[in-house]
Amino acid sequence: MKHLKKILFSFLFLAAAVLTGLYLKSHKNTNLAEDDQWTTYSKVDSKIVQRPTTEKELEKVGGLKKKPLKQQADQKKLAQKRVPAALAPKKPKFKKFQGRKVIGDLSHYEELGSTLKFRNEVDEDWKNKLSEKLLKHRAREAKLVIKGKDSVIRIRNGMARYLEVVQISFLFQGDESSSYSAYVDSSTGEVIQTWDRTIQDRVRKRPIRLVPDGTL
Amino acid sequence: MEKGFLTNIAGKLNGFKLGSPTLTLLLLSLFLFQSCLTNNASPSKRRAQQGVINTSGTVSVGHGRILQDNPIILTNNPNLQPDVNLDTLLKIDQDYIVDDQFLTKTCYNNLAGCMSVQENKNTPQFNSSDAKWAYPTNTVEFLQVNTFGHVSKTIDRFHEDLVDLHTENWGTPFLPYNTAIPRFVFANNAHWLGSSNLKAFADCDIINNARFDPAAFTLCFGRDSEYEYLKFAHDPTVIYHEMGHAINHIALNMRNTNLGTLEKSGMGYIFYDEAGSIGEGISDWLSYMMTYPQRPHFGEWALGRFNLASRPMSEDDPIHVAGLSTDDDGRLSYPQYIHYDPNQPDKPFEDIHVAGQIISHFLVALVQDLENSEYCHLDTKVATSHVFNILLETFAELGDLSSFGSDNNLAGYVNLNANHAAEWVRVNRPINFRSFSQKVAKNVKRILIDQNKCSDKDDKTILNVRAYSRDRFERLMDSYGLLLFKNYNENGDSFATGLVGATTTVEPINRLKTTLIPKDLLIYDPTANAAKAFVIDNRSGIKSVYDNMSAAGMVGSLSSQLEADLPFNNGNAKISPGELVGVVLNLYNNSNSAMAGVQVLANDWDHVKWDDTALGKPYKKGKLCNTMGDNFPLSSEGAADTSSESPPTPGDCTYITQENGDELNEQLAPSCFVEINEDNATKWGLQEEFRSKIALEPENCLSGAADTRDCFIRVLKGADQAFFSKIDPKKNYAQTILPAGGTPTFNSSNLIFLEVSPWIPPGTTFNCRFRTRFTNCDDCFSDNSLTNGEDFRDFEFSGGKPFKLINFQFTVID
Repeated sequence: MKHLKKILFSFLFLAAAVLTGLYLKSHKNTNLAEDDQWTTYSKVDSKIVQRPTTEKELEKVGGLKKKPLKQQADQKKLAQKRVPAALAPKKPKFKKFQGRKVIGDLSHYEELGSTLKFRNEVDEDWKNKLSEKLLKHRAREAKLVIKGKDSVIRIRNGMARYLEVVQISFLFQGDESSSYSAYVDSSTGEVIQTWDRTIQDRVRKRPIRLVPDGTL
Repeated sequence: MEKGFLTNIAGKLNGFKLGSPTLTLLLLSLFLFQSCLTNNASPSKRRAQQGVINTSGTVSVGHGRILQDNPIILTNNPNLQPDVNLDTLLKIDQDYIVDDQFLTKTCYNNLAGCMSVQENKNTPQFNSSDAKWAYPTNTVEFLQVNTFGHVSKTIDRFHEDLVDLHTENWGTPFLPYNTAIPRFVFANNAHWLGSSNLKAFADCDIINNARFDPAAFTLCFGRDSEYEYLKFAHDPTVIYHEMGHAINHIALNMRNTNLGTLEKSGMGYIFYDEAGSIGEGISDWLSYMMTYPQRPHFGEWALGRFNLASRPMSEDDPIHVAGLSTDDDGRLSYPQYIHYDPNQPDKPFEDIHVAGQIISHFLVALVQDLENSEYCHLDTKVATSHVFNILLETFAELGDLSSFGSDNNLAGYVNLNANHAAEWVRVNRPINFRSFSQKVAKNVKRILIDQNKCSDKDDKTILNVRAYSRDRFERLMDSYGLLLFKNYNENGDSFATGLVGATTTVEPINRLKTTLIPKDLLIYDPTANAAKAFVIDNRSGIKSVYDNMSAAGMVGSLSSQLEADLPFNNGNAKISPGELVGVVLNLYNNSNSAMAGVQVLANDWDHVKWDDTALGKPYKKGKLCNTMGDNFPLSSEGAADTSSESPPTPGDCTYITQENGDELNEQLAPSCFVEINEDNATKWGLQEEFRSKIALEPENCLSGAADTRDCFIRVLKGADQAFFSKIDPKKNYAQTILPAGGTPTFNSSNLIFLEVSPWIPPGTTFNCRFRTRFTNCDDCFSDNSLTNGEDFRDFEFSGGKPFKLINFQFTVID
């Protein structure tokens, strides 16, 4: 009886510890984008150096915060002319885990955390790793501006992956630049998927054409 | 009478046939006449040869003056000197700009600050303390006001038409059709990308370039390379074109913004693809819509005058070669004219702007059809609004990453499902000339034909009394080679409902010019000794292309197993360990008609039967299916056993995943697999099996220990599709691009990039089972085994049936 009590007590203690661990794991905030600042990277003597992004650079990459402005009279009229048929927006809410939005194949993994297998971990140095990958061996001189916009967990192929939602801008000579949004691996800084790519309308620009080295 | 009015009339009369002496004389007379009139009308505001005095004292609060069109049109002088005094081209009447001290706009639905203009990134917005916007034309202030005026005008037109479209659908008790415009589009500010601030830089330090940047939501207008003072923002048609990209982006993502998705759809993902071409064509057409009177030519000043790069939008433009005409058999048709550059017709040019001209010409012809009293008899403004609304509907549906396609549809109607829609838009079922034409056809029917939107034959003011003829529309599409589909696909692409309900079938007799070719006629070049593929593995070439693609966001990161400086790339034309290699398949068109939009897909797909499903995902052990259409590999070569697959259940070779591998027992597999030597035989197996056999640590796989399925050969994400604009009949691509012969060269869109693990034992042979198809294909998008040639449903693009499979084998050699 005495042993049984001990065993029961130990079991309860262990169960409480496991549950606490699971609770802490699922409620640990791994969202790195909340405090992320715009950062500019450049290559100096083969080394990548970083600094906070300047206002001029922010202007170029659309990073300055918008100031609310007063309404114009004629636009007021246009707005009043037709009222939207419905006013209540209905946006689906993202499920959250560890402070991150969860995207991807959720239907087979309803109990987040308990059954999720993660393929990576969160590394706070992801941004520097990303800058290293994008800049280190680049021949053409460029500044790189990166801002983490959001942090997510994407479930695919039965595995969950911590990803950062990032805006990446390359600033070249003059006002030449190109930007895009991307999912970046929160551990390795690898670019996984991109969108919102700049559309350049260069006049009569011929692309680089490669001469094959041979055939197979 | 205003000068602008007369010059516009003159422009229309002349229609750019500037060589005609009679018309030139007439225009000269008109010009002199109008100069007299304008000088007499307001002598105090115009000095001889100096033009309008454009200063704040000459305008009211909130007003200024902008160029009504580009300088070539305003002077009707195609040889205008670059240092023309633009003051002489301003009209005396003032233009409304903005009632504010800054060039900042408020858009529909009280979106304050939706757009602002400044000189460039280095200068803050300038302040007009009296809120007057008149400046001499040689100032940067004028350039900004001109930019603001035309961007603002374009936004107003966009929102006015969108409000009308929305009201027609959601403002009535019943929906005339299942519109793709979300019901809450304005409440969620999805009409402006969720209340973003579009910033336009009027005087960017970029040469011969203008751009739209959706990530930063900016526009940037550069200058001419030779004449520094020739600014692109002095050409309103260039401003309209760039705004065309912005509106296209907003429309494509209207449903995504409405739902707050993180990812966005795009028009084009590689250097050349058809979505990119369509985007350029639509942007040219937007310039047509915004000019008044509507002018089917774009960029005469900024692009045409010194760069030979302006673009026509009608076959009767004198810039065109002989043979093109507005007759049905003289149209700028697909794919014949896909490389045709009217400025240099003897030099075929594979370029999205060039190919996009087919779309702009088609859309102008559609407007003109709607104006034609015989067909629809609409006023030009009404006709352009209808076509614009058709485009907004088309893009809102095509770009929908939620997969609903309309608030009234069920999930899966378009782009498979929300988890994989981005992959569908990018590679599995991207926007191409076929999907665009089919959606336009559906919307022409829903908006114009079914609702009798045409006017009375005798009175243009009596609207909505008769229908535009479907036969006429199909013939017009066909005259452009765009009748590439067999039905209008109203029932969508969902697994559950994609074959349910009636669809409108294209009348086969209307398809006279459009040719559809069986997919099996796309083959490896059968010529004796012809190579299967071209290989590019020299370090400098590969590195420069990778750098460019990486900066443009076209490709993902290289594996950490490869050294980023690519020291192992040796240019020996072999596929060697540690390299990043570009491969161009030597594809051949074995038909008698041109094939266009040829796409090679190298992304993961459903062609493996997994053996270890009981252990849970990710599955690692499995066998290749030989039921995909290529009868490869044989059972004796390691194929999966399919003898008990009746009826097919998830996990079977004959069962194609409905969720792109998300459901239990299903999982996609990489395209490339490996030859494995066993005791007395060889077989084809998965890369994971080979890794296990040679005992390579999972950490050394190209994707790391987390994913060992593509341990040795990994197709670089983003470069996992190759695109060839056109392959002429009985030719390969190189012969099409270089009709005179010579050494073939390739651009980045032609290449599949393979990452080659440094751990591969030399002598190992791989097979990559690539899926190929083309746009004008008879059986790549339509399932001919079904009635009316119903489209394949979206899930089928996870498998092999809609594709011609091409197996590419190579041995890794050190």
